[in-house]
Amino acid sequence: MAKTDSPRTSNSVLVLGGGIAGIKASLDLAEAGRQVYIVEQKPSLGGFLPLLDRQFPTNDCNICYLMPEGGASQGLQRVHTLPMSHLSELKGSVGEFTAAIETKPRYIDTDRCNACGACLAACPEGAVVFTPGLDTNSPTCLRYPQATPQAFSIDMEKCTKCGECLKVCHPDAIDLDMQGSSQELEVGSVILASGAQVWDPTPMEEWYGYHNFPDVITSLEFEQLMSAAGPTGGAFQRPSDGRRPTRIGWIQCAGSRTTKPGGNPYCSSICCMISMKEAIWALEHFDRDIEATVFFMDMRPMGKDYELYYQRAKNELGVNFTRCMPHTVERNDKTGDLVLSHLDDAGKLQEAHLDIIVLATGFCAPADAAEQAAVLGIEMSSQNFVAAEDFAPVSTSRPGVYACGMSLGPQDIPGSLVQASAACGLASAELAPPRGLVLAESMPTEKKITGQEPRIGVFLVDWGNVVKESVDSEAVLQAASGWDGVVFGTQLELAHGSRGLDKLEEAIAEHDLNRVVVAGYSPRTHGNLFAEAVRRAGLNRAMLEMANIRDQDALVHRHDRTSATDKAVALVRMAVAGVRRAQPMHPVKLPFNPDALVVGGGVAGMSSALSLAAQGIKVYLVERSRQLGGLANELFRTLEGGSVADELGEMIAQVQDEPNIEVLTDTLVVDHQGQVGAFITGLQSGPGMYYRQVAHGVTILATGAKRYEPTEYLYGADDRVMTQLELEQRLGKGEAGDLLDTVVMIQCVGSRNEQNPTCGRICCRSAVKNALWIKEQNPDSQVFVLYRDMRMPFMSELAYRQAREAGVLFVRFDPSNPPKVSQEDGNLEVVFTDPILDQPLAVEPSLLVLSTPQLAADENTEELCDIFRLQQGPGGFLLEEHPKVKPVDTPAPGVFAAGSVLAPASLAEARTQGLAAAGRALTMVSKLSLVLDNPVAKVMPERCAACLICVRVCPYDIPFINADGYSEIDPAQCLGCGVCAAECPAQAIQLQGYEDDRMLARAEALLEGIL
Amino acid sequence: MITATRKPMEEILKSVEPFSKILLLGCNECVTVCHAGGRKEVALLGAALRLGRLQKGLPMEVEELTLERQCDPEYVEELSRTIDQYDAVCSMACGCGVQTIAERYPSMPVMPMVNTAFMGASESHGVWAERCAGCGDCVLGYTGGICPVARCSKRIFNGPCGGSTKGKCEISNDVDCAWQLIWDRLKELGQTELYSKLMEPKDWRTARDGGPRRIVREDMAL
Amino acid sequence: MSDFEPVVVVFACDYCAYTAADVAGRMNLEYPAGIRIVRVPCTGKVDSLYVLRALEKGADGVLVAGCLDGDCHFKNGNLRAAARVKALKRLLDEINIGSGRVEMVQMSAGQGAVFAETARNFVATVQELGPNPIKHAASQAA
Repeated sequence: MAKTDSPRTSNSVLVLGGGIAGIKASLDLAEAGRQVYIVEQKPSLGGFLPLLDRQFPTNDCNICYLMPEGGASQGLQRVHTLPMSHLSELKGSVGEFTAAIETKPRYIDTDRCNACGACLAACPEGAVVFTPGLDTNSPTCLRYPQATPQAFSIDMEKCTKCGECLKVCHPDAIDLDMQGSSQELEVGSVILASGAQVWDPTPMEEWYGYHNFPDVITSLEFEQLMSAAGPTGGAFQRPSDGRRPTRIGWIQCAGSRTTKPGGNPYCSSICCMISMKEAIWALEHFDRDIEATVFFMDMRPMGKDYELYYQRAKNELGVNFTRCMPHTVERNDKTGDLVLSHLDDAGKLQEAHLDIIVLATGFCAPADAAEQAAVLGIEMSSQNFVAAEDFAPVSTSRPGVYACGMSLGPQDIPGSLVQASAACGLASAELAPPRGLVLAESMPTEKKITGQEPRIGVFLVDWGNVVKESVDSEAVLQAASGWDGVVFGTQLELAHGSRGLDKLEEAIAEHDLNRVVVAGYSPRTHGNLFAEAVRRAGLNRAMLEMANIRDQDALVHRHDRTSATDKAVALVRMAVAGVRRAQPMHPVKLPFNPDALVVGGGVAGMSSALSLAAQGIKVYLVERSRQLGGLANELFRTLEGGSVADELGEMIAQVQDEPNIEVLTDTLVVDHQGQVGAFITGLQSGPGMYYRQVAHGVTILATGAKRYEPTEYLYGADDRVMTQLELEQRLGKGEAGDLLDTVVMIQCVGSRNEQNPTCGRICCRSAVKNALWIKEQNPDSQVFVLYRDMRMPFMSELAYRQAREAGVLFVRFDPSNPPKVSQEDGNLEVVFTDPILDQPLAVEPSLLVLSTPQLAADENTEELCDIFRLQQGPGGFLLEEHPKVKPVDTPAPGVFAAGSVLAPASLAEARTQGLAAAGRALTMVSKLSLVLDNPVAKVMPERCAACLICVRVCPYDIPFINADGYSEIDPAQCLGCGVCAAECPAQAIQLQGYEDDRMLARAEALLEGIL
Repeated sequence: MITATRKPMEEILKSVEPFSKILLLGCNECVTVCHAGGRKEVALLGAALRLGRLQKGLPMEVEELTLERQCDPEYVEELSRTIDQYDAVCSMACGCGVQTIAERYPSMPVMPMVNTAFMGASESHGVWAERCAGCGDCVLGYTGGICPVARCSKRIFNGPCGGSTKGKCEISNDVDCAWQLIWDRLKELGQTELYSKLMEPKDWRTARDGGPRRIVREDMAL
Repeated sequence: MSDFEPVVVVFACDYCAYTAADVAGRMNLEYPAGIRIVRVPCTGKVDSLYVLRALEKGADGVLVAGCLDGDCHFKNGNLRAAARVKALKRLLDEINIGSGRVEMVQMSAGQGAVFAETARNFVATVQELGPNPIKHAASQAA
């Protein structure tokens, strides 16, 4: 069927699911010049994200970065959103799929609907839906006003077709007889991002009392309760009696890590962090008299540096943590208290009295996961998540179909984003090679207007009658006609979806306008639309200024037409004053070298290199040592039992055979200069330290980590004491035989302590893997694992259960009372306290295994940071651009990072991050030229006093004092915040569009006539 | 660099009371760099003056201008054609600038808008500290590059006084003892023998004690 | 309450307060019409001069409206603005215009209700303070 050698022609990707993973995948692909179809079953995009107020670990809101409008400006027009739709059939094969899409009727024309809200107000049955975003009934905090698409929909099950909404809809967007539709799309590859659903505690209500007791709620319900937009309007009240709760308990693993019917056997991975976030938030927002207690079995803050978040919650922020096995929830009818019975660490039954119990519910596969898998023709795991493997972490069983986000299992936002970018990299390889963006070539040349007197046109734009109802438009136009430079004014009737903009373009030509004011919508939402129209009419995009007389005037002052009209006049006058001083802005266009440099030849680096090379990009892969493979060379098998050596060997062979990859082993990076698209990096190779320079456009850093060399527990002094990696070597070579009689493993050696407060992240999984392997080689072995928290995310929890069933004994120790190891007369002895017996036990092991972490490779990483001008975070690992929203980007544009240089990483994580960094890099290299169109700060050299203030205040360290002795700001790097301009004591820096004279003219025009 | 700070508004408003039209004059040198009298500060003070006067019901015209350097006659000459239209010049330059204006335009009242503070260096963004007292006889070569004249509260020359505690000066815990700094640096340099060398009483005539000072370079005189 | 309807200029950051104001409108929340918004890319761009000029031209109050702490799109522009507002307040007291006429406020993009409430509260505060004192002088001069 699949003709792998046929030329790939498709440039389109189908993305199934419009949550954060699907959005990220779509934006990355679109930015790389691909056409994307996002198919989403709900009326609008967003998934879980808009339901959350704050996000760990930064506890801030990053929604503006994550959602389409804020995520990327370039390429958005290449994303086609198909809401209320699903895939019904996927024919064909990789590179040439045909996808059949069914769309349900929305009953509202998204091209016409302007989201004015009149239908919502008019509908007596509450059948009008607008989620997420502005629906005040929705649990969102309204941080995200931009639903995509920005239109309502009607729930036909509730609708009685009374017709009230039809009367109030000015744009005539409602069609209650709308029919569903179907279509076929030709796509080269498919990305599944259909997410997961929150586990419903109903089947386990006999344990948790959910439904029986109104004060038992889920964590998402708790977010609503605390949200200002929630059912209580921000008042903190418990559901049963409206009392302000002070004792709040979170029950972890509600429905997870259980074999009870109705529950899930795996760990949901992110609920520990969600509960901690909620507890911290409750303490911060509702005063310190709140007792916030987390009832847990093991705390599993799995992400990078999440351990530090846990320690802060526990030691600084006052969250209580009770280690226990939660049992049942009862209610004391006299006091109204909820009573949580639980078995404490010593196995004794305890009771906790609480006002509210929050169930830290996990996630499970969507109800239709199996159905969708059948349509896609892909295999699923026993839990109905996509079955993926360590070396193919975002691939499915069908070539050309990839997966990301929670469809692969419960995970946090950074994890989803990394997978999305990884899937993009692979999905792109199935398409025609990147062609480079087609820039606005069809646009007419810009008219020269320098030296011309301003000829300003004022256009009052209204879709429907929203503005006209509150503002006397004629009066506004009348006032405007008298202002300096205004030569034309009119009202413009537009239909949504830009129909009617041609009239604006015609008017510009007919009246020879050189500057335009559009009064109506917010520049934030509609600025681009009108700027494009102005550009089509032959003017520079900067020759437009918007007066926001709808959202910031007409809608606000509906009951005071006189004031609303006066204010509209002032706002339009401000825009006229601003546009009169407008200067053309020209995007900076730089040539872009598409070659890539990948530093580090481990799993992460090789993954990046292969993914980029598959798209025809030349890659220099630099490795410090003599061989490729990195730390993975020392691994034999995966937790699931797969062979690492086979997979790794195949990967190394692929790298060596790939003509687009130039492998440079025994090579160091010694210097680096230039900027994205035009880097030059100096390398030194071989024993002779031969120096050469390579030119490249993007850089991926994947230099890995190093092993911790333990000083604890007689390591080095006794041959029977070894690390998990050393044990794995022995097990792999079959050399451990007689050592396996009695094995003791000690966890957290060299991590979660004062010297290294971070968690090693993968040592628990290594211990379970090796414990199972020992039992496999010698079923009579006695294996003890001495641990603090067993951190076994998602399906690895099943291996943990399997190990316990195989007889591996897991004994918890407290860091205040760690195991003691001694050796006397050649006998090794480990003494530890059993928490249940509360007594010290002594074991004489034949083998003592230390679970040690990966550490930041100090000097290497420091040197790397020095050369690439990056920073190290806690623990010395490389600091990413943003731990939440840009996990594989670095603050230096065009420089990406992957693998354990960022944090200790498992094989699958290293591979995924490697692919993701390649996917991110592709968004840049596919452009062939770099176009930067944001306003930038400009220096007037004759005014500059070289005082260094701009150099010091710039948040991105862009300005510098040049050889001529004045400040220089690289327009290719400036992000346009204007802080330097506001602080320059010589007024020598001006921000385009916000120049001082223009800002003052705006302010003065706004206030004209007051004095 | 010469550092300065804007005078309190009350004093400024009082000093301009008699005038109804002034020229507010900035300088693009030291006072720009120390955020006291560059273009930006001129604009801010201009707005504040107009507001302050309007508040009193006595509107005042304020013209704003910033010269490249107020302490050089050529730059100051720029004002000659327009200066007559003002009641006064309000200078935001250091004392040198104010006096240069006053000398060139003898009939024009010149008001200082800033207090000239000291010769200092920038410690960090927004922090300037005194580093040189202009004593005319530099000893930094013997004192580890730390000046006992500018940085010792007592300007003493042979080691710290009895008020030096834990490296701080007795006048305030925020003030480092200059002699502690000198000792530390000399140790670092391996030059502690300089510390034991007795310094002769300083000849303060090269400082202000000898009267106003001038520098004359005969080789340059035109 | 007096008949005095203050005019307040709001310098609003595009990433938060300006968006919040749009949201307030779309939520049909009301606030006094004297609130007039000027868009800036970041409150870090708000020059002290803009604030003084607004007062000079007759505004009764000025709000500088930026992102919540830690949320600034440009890392710390909001903190720079807050520091500037603090210094401006001292200056305004010195010239008897009154420090209460200028405030730094913070909110996130979706907080339309916070924007409307902040606007209402500030207008009420300015009503208490009375009209910009220069207006009286200006009307006398005229």
